[in-house]
This record gives sequence, structure tokens and C-alpha cells, in this order.
Amino acid sequence: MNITQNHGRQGFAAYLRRRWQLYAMLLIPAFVVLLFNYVLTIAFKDFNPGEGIVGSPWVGLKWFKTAMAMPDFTSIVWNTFIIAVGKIVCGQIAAIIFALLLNEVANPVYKRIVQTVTYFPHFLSWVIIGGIFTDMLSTTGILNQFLGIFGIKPIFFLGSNQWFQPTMVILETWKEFGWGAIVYLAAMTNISPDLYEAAAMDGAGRLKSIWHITLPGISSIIVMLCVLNIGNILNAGFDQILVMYNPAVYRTGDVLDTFIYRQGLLDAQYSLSTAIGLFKSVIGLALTLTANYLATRFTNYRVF
Amino acid sequence: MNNKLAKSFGDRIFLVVDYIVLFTVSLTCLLPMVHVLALSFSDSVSAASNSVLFIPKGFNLAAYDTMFSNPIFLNAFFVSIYRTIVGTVINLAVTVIAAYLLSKENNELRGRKWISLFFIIPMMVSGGLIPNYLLVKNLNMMDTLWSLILPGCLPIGNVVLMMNFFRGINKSIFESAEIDGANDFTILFRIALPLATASIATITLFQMVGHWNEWFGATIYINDRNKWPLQTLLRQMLTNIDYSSFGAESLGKLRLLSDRSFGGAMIVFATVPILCVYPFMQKHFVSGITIGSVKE
Repeated sequence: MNITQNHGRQGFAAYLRRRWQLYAMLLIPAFVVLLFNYVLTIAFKDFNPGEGIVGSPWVGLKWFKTAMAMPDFTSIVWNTFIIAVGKIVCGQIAAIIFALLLNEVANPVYKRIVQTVTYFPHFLSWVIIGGIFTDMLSTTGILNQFLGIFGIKPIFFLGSNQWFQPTMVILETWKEFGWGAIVYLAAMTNISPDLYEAAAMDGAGRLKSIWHITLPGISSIIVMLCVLNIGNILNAGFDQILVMYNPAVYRTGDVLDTFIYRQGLLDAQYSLSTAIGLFKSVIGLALTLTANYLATRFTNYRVF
Repeated sequence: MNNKLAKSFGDRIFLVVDYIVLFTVSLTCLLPMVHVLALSFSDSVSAASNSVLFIPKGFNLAAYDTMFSNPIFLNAFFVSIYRTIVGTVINLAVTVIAAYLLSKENNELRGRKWISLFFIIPMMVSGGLIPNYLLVKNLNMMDTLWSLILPGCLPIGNVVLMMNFFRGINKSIFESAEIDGANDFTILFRIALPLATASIATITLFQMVGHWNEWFGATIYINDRNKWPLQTLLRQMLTNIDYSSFGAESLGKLRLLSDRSFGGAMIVFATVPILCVYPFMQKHFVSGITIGSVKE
């Protein structure tokens, strides 16, 4: 039997007889995906729990219009956008700088210790991080005590509309910068050491070789990650905000996901919040597709 | 390669600053944990008066004592363990099968294009919170641990990671097995899987941590507090400590205890398991992240 010859119009029955196992395997994951991922119709329906998802009548775009007409809607989208973009920008910059600094460390033990410590917060849930920081960031908490040494008045980080958004961005950056640096560090190991030697011969210092060798060496990865992050600009981080916000900061801290949660599950407005969720999903899809298109166009990245 | 080439003065300053900055940054990652640890061992007066920094004051174990005297914590701990083990096994099984299928070429798996589209679409458009909630409700999975395990048991990101790994295996190994009469089950279990142990270890660890840390599902799907995993219980307890679940004996102890040290003890309790698997993960996660990005 020659395996390479079976592209042709070989009978489908014969093909199945030989390959039926593949389709048997397909059953399980396909069933799971079908059941848990293909249930979107509710957004276009006037959902009535008594009639079930299939039984409720179709109402077209009614709920989308209702959502758009809500007075808070614009500010919620805006909050989502600001927090998400802040996280992407700060997170990337922090990760790149951290990777550059770590890459200059020659002592492997020191490097390993720094990595071990800085990666750790990535593996903790927001419940834990939230628990730690709600205490630390309170007006009497350890951070305000520290700032008090410099004569700064206590700041209510999680309770004031002025501070809530920056606090969310900084906490996320703190949690993820070490983890985010891994990709850049991996890219830096691919840069040829010859380049650094040649530069050193020509009298370039560390800063110069970072600027002229390391940064250009990882520029394609930076571009790739920036492009892929386009798909995230409506993801402000549901877990984090849900754990850390409170009614006093709804004006600046309420994002699409938390709004959907409160409207949908606490107030049981199923159709309305599904419509908002779908709105987010559709924009996210458009952004992801754009990002993937740009990524394949300008870098060598491809998801599938 | 002569590192002892005379380093310029500027370079030395740069290195010193570099080491100091990295030290400070590491410290900011470590100190919050140390602070919580110190709080959990401190007495109520010191904890409530904000005088505890990084060393416990009035060292005692009252917080831990109270916590373990209330069966709900150990119960939640075991729910978390159960959920992590069962959830990870199911995740892995489904992920490996899907990844193996998608790693096949078009001529091996006819209709591969459609099949992969079928798997990609949910990755890009998610139904969102409410449809998932209603689905779980209609499937009668409310108040069962299945509601935490089955939805989302096929993380597409991990499928892509595994798929890329399977694609990296030399095709001739599969072909020779096929010539020897092996079917796809045999190839998957006897050839592909043994070759993939490293990446399976990676995604196993990721999924275990994911299950351990997940807390939101139980807040909406499970009303019975005795079925809550540890993180969900922790979230609820940190928001407001509910004293009704404590027996009379531990209530007496609670009076000697501030909410802060008790909260600290709960946080430490939920962190220790992560700390235990962390060394194993470190070995794997760098390779795990980079495998996914390698393309032929």
C-alpha cells in the first residue's frame, strides 16, 4: 500500500474503511464544542425561561438597540477601552525593559532567582492578589504608610474614581511583567553573540549594544505581540475588576464584562446582557481577524 | 570570547544599576507575600493597628487554628483537589485528541478545513456569560462539579500548542507505523503520545493551575457552599467573613483574632499548593511558551 498515492479519487468508502478511527476520535471534541460553544441564538430572541432557548420568539436587533440607548453604555465601553489599552501598553513596555535588563545579567544564579521571583505572581489567582492588595492599598494599608514617610496624604486607591483605573493597570502590569518577558528573553537568545563581540571591539558600551543590537533583534517579536494584542482591546480583565471594584468606582471602573455580569446574573436581564456580550464578541472578532491579517502580512506568524 | 576585555567605567555603572533595579523589582514581587504571611502569624492587636510589616508581631497560630477547626475550609480544599484532578484529566484527553486530528494533513483527514474551522470559530466568537449560564442550567448541571469541569474543557490555545507539537514529529515515523498496519488509535497512543511527554507535562501543569485558580464559575453555578472550591470560598470570605459557619468553640477564638490575620491565613492556605508545584512548572513553562510559536 502506497500511502502517498491516496490523494486521488479513491472511493470514499475505501478511505473511510482505512481512516474511520480519525472520525471516531472527532466525535468527543466535536460534541463538546457543539454543546458548549454553539449556543448563540439567545441574543436574538425574547428569552422566556418557560419556553426554553429554542421556543422563545425571535426579536431581531431589538436588544442591541436597547443596549446602545442606555445612558451608561458609552462610558462603560470607554472605561473598558482605557483600562485594556493601558494594560497592553504598560505591560508590553515593562516586559521589554525587564527582559533587556535581565538579559545583561551574566551571573546565572542571580538571573534564575530574579526569574523565579518575578514569574510567581502570574500563577496566583486574582482572588488571592485582590485579597492581598485590598488590604495593602487601603487608606491605612502598608503602601499609604510608606507614602506617608514622604509626607504624601493617604490615597484611596480602590475607592476613588481618580485612582481606580491607574491602579488596575499597574497591578496587572506588576502581576504579568515577569511572565511577559519570557517571550522576549527567548527571542534574545537567538541573537548571534558575534554581533556583541564586534560591537564591543568597535567600542560600543552596554547601552549602545542594547539599543543597536538587542532591540532590533527582538523588534519583529515586539511588532507581532503588539499586533496580536489588538484583539484584546475590549478585554479589561473581568476577574481583576470584579474582585477589586466597588459601587463607589462604578463611574470609572465598570467595564463591559462586569456590566454584563450585573445586568445578566444579578438582575436577570438575560437577553439584554447577552446582546451586549455579543456586541463585545463581534467587535473582538473583527479586531482579532484584523490582527491576524496584519500579523500574517507583516510577520511570519500564523495561528492555524 | 574574552569577557575580561577591559570594561569601561560606564559599563560598570550600568551593571551596578541593572543589578540594583532587578533586585528592587524582585523585592516588589516578594514583599506583598511576605507581608501577608507576617500578618497571618500576628496577634489581633498588632494586625489591627497596622504595625505589622514583614515580621510577625506577637507570633501565634490562632488564625490557622481557627481556619482548620472549621471543616468548611478543608472541605473546600478537597473540592478544589478533586476538581483539579478530574478537570485536568478530561481537559487533557479532549485536547490531545483534537490536537492529533488537526495535526493531520488534508489528504489524511478529509474535510480537515471544515473541521478546523469548526474548532476555530468558538475561539474567536464566544457566546458570553449568559448563554453559558443558561446552558448549564438547562443541562441540569447547576450545583454539580460538572458545571465547573465540562464548559471550557477544550481550551483551544492548548490545542494549538499540542497540534504544533504533533506536526513537528517526523512524518516518516507515522508512515512506517501505518505500513506496519497500525491504525490511528494505535499511532496516537503508542507513538504520538510517548513522543509528546514533555509538552503534555507542560499543558498538564498549566491546566492544573488554571483549575486551581478558577473561582468565578462556582459563584454562579453552585449555591451549596459545601461544594465550593477553595478559591470561591476565599473570595466570599475575604469580601465579608461569615461567622455563622463557625462553631461556638471557634467563635471564642475568633474574638482574639483580627479579620486581617484570618484573611492572611486563608490567602496563605490557598497559595501553598501553587508554591508546591511551582518548581516543577518552572522546568517546563519556558519550553511550553516557545513550542507554540515554532512553525515549520
